[in-house]
Parts: sequence; C-alpha cells; structure tokens
Amino acid sequence: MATKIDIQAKEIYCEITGRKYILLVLLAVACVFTLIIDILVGPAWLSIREVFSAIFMANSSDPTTHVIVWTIRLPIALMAIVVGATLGIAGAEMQTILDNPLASPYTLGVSAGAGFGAALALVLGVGIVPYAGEYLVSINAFFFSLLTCLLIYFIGKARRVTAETMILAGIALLFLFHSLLALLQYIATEEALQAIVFWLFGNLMKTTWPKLGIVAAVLIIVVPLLAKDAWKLTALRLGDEKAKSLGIDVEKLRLKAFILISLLTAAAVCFVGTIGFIGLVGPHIARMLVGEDQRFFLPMSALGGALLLSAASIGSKVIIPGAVFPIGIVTSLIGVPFFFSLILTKRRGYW
Amino acid sequence: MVRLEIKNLKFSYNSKPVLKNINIKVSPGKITAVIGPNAAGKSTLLKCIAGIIRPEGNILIEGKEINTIKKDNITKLVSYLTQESSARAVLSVFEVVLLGRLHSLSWKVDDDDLEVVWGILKELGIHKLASRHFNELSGGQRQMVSIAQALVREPKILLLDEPTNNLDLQHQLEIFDLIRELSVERNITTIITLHQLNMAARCADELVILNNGEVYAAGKPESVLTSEMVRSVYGVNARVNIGEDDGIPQIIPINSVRSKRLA
Ligand SMILES: Nc1ncnc2c1ncn2[C@@H]1O[C@H](COP(=O)(O)OP(=O)(O)OP(=O)(O)O)[C@@H](O)[C@H]1O
Ligand SMILES: [Mg+2]
Repeated sequence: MATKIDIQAKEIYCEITGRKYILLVLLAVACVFTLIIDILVGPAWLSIREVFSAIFMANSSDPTTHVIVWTIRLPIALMAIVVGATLGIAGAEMQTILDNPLASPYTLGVSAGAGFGAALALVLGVGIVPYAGEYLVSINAFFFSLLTCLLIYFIGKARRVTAETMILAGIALLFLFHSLLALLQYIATEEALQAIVFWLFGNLMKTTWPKLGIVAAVLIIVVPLLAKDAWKLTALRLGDEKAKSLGIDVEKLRLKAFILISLLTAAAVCFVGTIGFIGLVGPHIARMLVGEDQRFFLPMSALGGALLLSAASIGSKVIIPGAVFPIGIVTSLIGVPFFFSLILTKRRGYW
Repeated sequence: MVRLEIKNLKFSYNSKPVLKNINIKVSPGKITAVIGPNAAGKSTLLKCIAGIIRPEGNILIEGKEINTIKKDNITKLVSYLTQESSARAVLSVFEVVLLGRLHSLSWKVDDDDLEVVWGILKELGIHKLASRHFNELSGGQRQMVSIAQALVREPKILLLDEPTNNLDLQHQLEIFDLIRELSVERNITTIITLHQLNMAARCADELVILNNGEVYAAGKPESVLTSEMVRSVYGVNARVNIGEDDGIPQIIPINSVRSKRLA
C-alpha cells in the first residue's frame, strides 16, 4: 500500500515538474536560436557558414568576417543574452521579495539612479573613482544604482523592512533621480546632452569582451547564492506570516536577496544603460509558463529576459536596414505586443 | 504530562496591551479550543506560541523555555495555520503543501516528502486538486489545502487559527474528525480557535475563553459554556441545552443584549 502511494506521488510530481522542464528547454533553444540570428544580422549580413568558420576555424576564415564576428557581433549578441538574463532574474526576485508585480529595477528607480550617475560623469566629468578613463561612466552608473538600492533598503528599514515601505521608497527615488537628471540635462552642453540621451536609450553597441566578462561574472556568482534559497523564496510567496511560521527569518532573507539583486541590477545597467521592459516582463512570462516554484521561476525569468533582449537586439538592427537603433527603444516595441498577446491568451489569476 | 505551558504571557501591539497575563496548560493528545469575541487576542496568542511574535512571559514546550530552543527545532515541533492565507502565489496545490516540509526540502525533492504530501492530500480528499493552481481554487478548497500544509509537517504542537473558515458543514465535521484522529494517534497537542461555540463544545476536550486579552474561563465544555458566560463575554442572551445522551452543552442564542427587539 505504501509503495503504491509512493508511485502515485511521484507520478503526480513528475507530471507537474515535467512540463516545466520541457518549457525550460524550449526557451533555452529559442535563446540559442535568437543568439545565432543576432550574430548573422547587421549592416553586413553574414551566412551561417561564414560565422561558423570564423568562430571555430580561425585560420581558414576571411579576416574581415573574423573581425566582425569576434570583436563586434559575438560580444554584443552574448551581452544581450547575459544582460537580459540578469535583468530577468533581478526583476523576478524583486517581485518575489516585495510581493508586487510592478517591482523591477526600472520601476523602483534603480535605473534612474544609474542614469543620474552616468549623467554626472558625462556632464561634469565627476567620477566616484578617479582616473577611470573609459569606465568612468559605467563605474558611476554602477555605484549610483547600488546607492539607490541601499537608500531603498534603509528608508524601508527606518520603519520595518516590509514590501510596501520599500516600494514606496523606490518610487520616491525614481522621481528624485528623474528630476536630478533633468537638472543635469538642463545645464548640460549640447554635446553632453546628446551623450546622456544616448545613454538613457540603452545601448549594446559599446560592448567589449571585458565588459561582457564582468556582467557574466556577477551573474555566475550571484545565481547560485539565490538558488540556494530557492525554497525559502518560494515560501515567501505565501506571505510573511506563513514564511515565518515555516522557520524563515523573513527580514534576513529579504536583505540578502535585495543585496544580490542590487548587484545584478547595477552590473546589468552600468554598461548598457536604461533598458526598462525586461526586468518587468521577463518574470511575468516565467510566472505564466512555470509558476513561482523558484527552482523553475528563477531560470525561466532569466531565459525570458534573455530571449526578449536578444530578439530586441535583432530588431534594433533590422528596423532600419544599415543602421542600429538604440535597443532600449526596441525592447518595448517588441516586448509590449508580445506581452499583450500572452496576457490576452492566458487564463486569469496571474496577479 | 504537560506538553505546552504558558505562564504570565503578556503582549502589546504598539504599547496597546492585547494579551494580559495568560496562563494555560495543555496536554498531548488533546484538543483545546480557544474561543472568544473578535479582537479578543486569539490569533495573537497562537502567533506567540508559533514564535512569530515575541511576548513577555514564558512559553514552555515540554518544560523547555521556547526562547532557548533553536529556531529550526521550534519549526519542526510547531505547525501553525494562519487565519488568512495569501492567494496570490502562482503555485500548484502540490507545491503549496510541499512547502509545509520546508525544513527538509533540497533542490531535488526526496521521495519521502512526496509520499507524505500525497498521503495527506488523499486523507483530506483533495488529491484531485494536486496540479490545480492554488490561486484558482474556491475559498473552501484553499482552506483545505492550507490545512494540508499545516498537517504535512507532522508536528507535535498543532496550532489552527479558525481551521473551518469557509468550509461547508460536511467538511467542517470531517476536518474535526481528522484532527481528533491525528491528535490521538500521533499524540499531538492541538490548539484551535473558532467562533462556532457548539462546534467547539462537540470537538474540543478543553475550552479556553479569551475576552479582552484575558482568560475568562477554562475547562471542560460543560463547565465553561454557560448562559452567564455567553452573556458577559459575547453580550448575547442564550439558552444552554445539555444533550441528553452525550452531555454536550448546546447554545441557543436568543438576542444580543444591545438588540432593541425582544425575543
Ligand atoms: N499587526 C497588528 N498590529 C496592531 N494591532 C494588531 C495587529 N494584529 C492584531 N492587532 C490587534 O490585536 C487585538 C487582537 O487581535 P487578534 O487578531 O488576536 O484577535 P482575534 O481574537 O484573533 O480576533 P478574530 O476573532 O477577529 O480573529 C485586536 O485589537 C487587533 O486590533
Ligand atoms: Mg483571529
């Protein structure tokens, strides 16, 4: 009898998780697909054969193609995947710990903080770290997004670390940084103004291998730390009280996750600028597809974000042939219709 | 033997006293029902025992002060059903119940845990809901799932805050039967809160009547449930009938003392 129950239990469990594994694989395949197309598409279209030989057979390939693929296409295409995944995860965990579907790096002012930091560097040449050279803007953006996160946390903590206070703090900071940014734009020279606007659009074009390496490293370090708390984060969705009764130190978990999220967000936005839609929608796609068991929700949010940004990267190159559109503009253009179609075809009950 | 002892327990929310000097002793294998009007402090009392809020005074589990027991161990000993459960999580019923076993979950879920979850789902007759989404269930179905989540932890102390909320008559009776069965079989100390006095009289071994953060009376249902108590605690005039065959008191409300209409 006991063994019979056992078998049924496993069957049900496999039925529930099996579908999710399949979806994960499907989305991963889709990401690989967009990644490849992203490498092929550009001012000069390449064939799969050319790209393949440039990547895997360095000696026999055409030198120009080799340069295009290795110094431009590959890092940018990979950056789209990595930044998309990073923003997807950051958004997913923000929504989880703040118990709010509107939470994302963008809506909580973290991107605005980063934008202000970048603008400071662009307008006044003021950097957090002296002699940063090429990285001045990025370092500023990085620190200001961390600063924004810290402010959100400590303002939230001044009362109690509840979701509501943190969200309110984030939204207030969004407005603060927007007006500070406007102030900088107001006093900026024509040239600096253009640089700011360009930064705010969000852009993958300045990607280099070291930059890609930094973002990827942060992602690789942070994800296992989040994954370790997967069940606890899942339990948090049942409400603070329930989570506490299950033995979770809710405030500690929230702080830990928030620090990790801050790092992810800062790393993602500091090199590519403001890309708004991914952190909000990646998690929503994941939630609709696999629900909120973090063991699936976390990787799915990453894949959702990566897929969206990778697709947007392709879109940014084909909208106007020969030119590259700022990707921050394209994400929403591609993402919104996609998102609406998901919402309209799915059942109710997701927030 | 005393499983759970509460001594001089006091608790205030923002310096407003909610529990004032509570003393209760509970034995294993028994069901204690905490009853009392709204805002009497019933839920607050359960939260203190569950370790969610820290009161003044002593809570002793098997003679050990709760503050000296490691948090993980308290979690294993005590299981708590909240009065309300958030319906926003996008999780299947199976996953929600599985979360009850949080203390033993790792990335790959053990077969043991799966088996226990499935067992309790069957026992409660909600195994057909296993792959449905929690947030798409009816209020009563959700309540059954939450109860399953509390039971799946195999605790020594079971705290249920209004477990029969949203449940129809049949389910109410089934839940109480199951709770009784489990309490006796596994020697669990069960404390429930509820509002239906007659149900409490029928199902509990002991009643604790909480009024304004104080224990008004405690003891066997037949000694505690009097028309005098109902009038002074609830402000309701009532008649008490004693069941001829089982001796269980039954309360028949007549009117509120505030009511202008006469019975
Ligand atoms: N989080 C809180 N903050 C401040 N006051 C609270 C909080 N929770 C409960 N209270 C107050 O504590 C008192 C007791 O509340 P409690 O929830 O224990 O009542 P209860 O007996 O469970 O009532 P009910 O039958 O309505 O569930 C009430 O006056 C309530 O307003
Ligand atoms: Mg209550």
